[in-house]
Amino acid sequence: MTLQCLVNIIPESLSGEAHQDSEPSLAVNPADTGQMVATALTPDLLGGPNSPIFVSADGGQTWAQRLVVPGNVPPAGTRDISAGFAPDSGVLYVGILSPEVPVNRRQLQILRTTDFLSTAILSVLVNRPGPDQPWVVAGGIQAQSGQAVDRVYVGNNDLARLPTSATVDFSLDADVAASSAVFSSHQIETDAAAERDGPPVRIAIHPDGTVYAVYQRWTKTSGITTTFDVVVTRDDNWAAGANPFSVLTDPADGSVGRRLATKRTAVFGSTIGQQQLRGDSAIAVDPTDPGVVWVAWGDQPQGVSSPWTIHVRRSADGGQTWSGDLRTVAQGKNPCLAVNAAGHLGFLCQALTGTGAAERWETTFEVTADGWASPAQLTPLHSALAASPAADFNPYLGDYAGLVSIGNNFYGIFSGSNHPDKANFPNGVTYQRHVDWDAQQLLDLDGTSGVPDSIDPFFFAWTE
Amino acid sequence: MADAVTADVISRAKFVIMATVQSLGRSTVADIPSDDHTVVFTIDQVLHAPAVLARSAGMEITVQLAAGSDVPAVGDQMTLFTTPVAYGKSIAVAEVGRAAAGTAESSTITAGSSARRSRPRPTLDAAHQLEEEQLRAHAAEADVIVAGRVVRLEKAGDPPLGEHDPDWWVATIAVDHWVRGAVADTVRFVFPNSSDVHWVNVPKPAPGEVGLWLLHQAAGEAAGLADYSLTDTYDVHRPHELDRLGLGGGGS
Repeated sequence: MTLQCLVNIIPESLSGEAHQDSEPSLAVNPADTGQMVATALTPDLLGGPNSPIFVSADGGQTWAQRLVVPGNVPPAGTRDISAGFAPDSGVLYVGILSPEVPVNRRQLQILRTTDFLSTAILSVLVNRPGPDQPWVVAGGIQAQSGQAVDRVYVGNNDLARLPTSATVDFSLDADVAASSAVFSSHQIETDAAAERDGPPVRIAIHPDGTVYAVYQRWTKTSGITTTFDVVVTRDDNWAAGANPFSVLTDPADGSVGRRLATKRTAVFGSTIGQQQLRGDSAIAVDPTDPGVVWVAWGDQPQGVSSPWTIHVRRSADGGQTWSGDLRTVAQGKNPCLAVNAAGHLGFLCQALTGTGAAERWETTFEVTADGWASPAQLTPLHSALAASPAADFNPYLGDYAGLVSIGNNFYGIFSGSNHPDKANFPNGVTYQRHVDWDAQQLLDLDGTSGVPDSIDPFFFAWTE
Repeated sequence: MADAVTADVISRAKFVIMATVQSLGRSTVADIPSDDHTVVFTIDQVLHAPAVLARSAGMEITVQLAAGSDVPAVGDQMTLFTTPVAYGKSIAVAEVGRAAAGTAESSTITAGSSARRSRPRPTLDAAHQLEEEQLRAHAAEADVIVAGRVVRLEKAGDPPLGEHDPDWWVATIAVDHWVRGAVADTVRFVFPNSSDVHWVNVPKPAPGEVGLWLLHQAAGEAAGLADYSLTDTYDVHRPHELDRLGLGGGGS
């Protein structure tokens, strides 16, 4: 059980860049795990008309950029972006907030390509106003004809639908559809008494057609202090029925959606280590058992003066009843969950440690076979001073990171300081960009001129 | 040699180089297919590029020539106007125009101190002129233009409860010099104070800051907070830049 690689995915030809490439996501093709796509808040730094995705065709050992996402407005390129590969067809789906609308508007686009290495612009399947933070997860089935049928789910917070804003846009045949007509948009929030829902809406798919979604129901706001419940919904047949995501009900009032944690507190937009706190959420289902599901979220458990804390809980009955906290991480950020083919849980998390000028962002990957009943296997990935480099914008590291499991392997991505100090990477790292490790200096394309430190995305693969 | 270098070519070209043909029909970027219009050049001189590629002279680069264009011979040198396609160990670009070597003139521009990580970059004189024209066109669209000092900043609007909420604030400017619009001794305008990635490029007025302010009639949710708004990267300039913006007249 080892870390296979940790790679800074900025391509060599962009050695001169000093951009804040925060908020990464990762897609791995289950049919060919050599094929990967990563995204981040990365523009085309030459100012071309399109934004990049990062691609790898060798299992993450080397990475390049393809400028295939429509629109490019610095500093984000596409604004929010995430990606997912369908498991059987190998089709890539990307969800973005389009930069081609005025900055005070949000425009969800769902994009598609059958060739992730192509330089052709991605096809636009959905183009509608309102949502925030699209989160793409793709599943699929084999039709009787033997043809793969992609089932694609895009969690989002549709602020045009306040207060019931937690939404899933989904398609049951996304690979064969030629137009946007086959994507449905379904509000999974049903409680009109909610003030609104929080930004992250996350999805987990089991191959048998069980689909979970988790979101945060804001029940009260006072200024920027929010009180919220963590709510899980479920569908048992790909959301194909008349009332999708309505299987789980809350025992307290019978309403749709099971509250697994209630009356949580968070100060929206407070900052630790230059990173604004705007909601954390993750969900994963056990591929060996659709009834076993894990959820993580962030809050301030003792009220507004207490530290932001990540919680991880588990359900063994399809989300109807839940454990208490199995793992907590004080000053944690960007929790990611995935379960491998052995039923072992992978947990990626970033955490602020230390105090004052010695504060550091530490990124650690954990694997547990028993829900932390015994010590998990810990793999420290990255550690860097939290005050450097200075933030150019929010989010500094991102409002999310990424973790995927295929077979017994885990693949993850996070953003962090690219300061080239080997002590920051206790298990090693590979840079594609030019660097002088002895001088701890990033280098430009000429191999001599210095380049300032910045935030870069880092990919890792971990094999059991 | 092809090919008139029009304003459209200048506008679309993000990477302009003087380069020499190394080989035909191959690519230097993995998994980028090649055909008879795929040519590998060596960069002799960077004429126009952001800082990220300002030091790419000597690099081999893959160029997809414009469809139907003449294919040069190995050893030919020319000025290439390109737009990016892919970045890997090397770079792939698409041709948007070409000219004889030595045709285009370039200057080295050092960006202002406001861009914290900015570094020198070569810029075509023609592209710089085009940018200046665009800046003057932007100024021409402003409803109010004044020079003055920030005397008051106040939070306005609802608390920012969305990731990309603008976090509206209102600034009051004591007017030293007016250029356009009917304003009194002071003028109030709304601006997004959020440092979120959506809004970070909009200037944030600081207490006591002196500037040349290009203001626009407030619209949408901002309209209820002040008559005017500041929502564009290019809405604040130094007071002495009136001439650069093509602005004259006005008075104190």
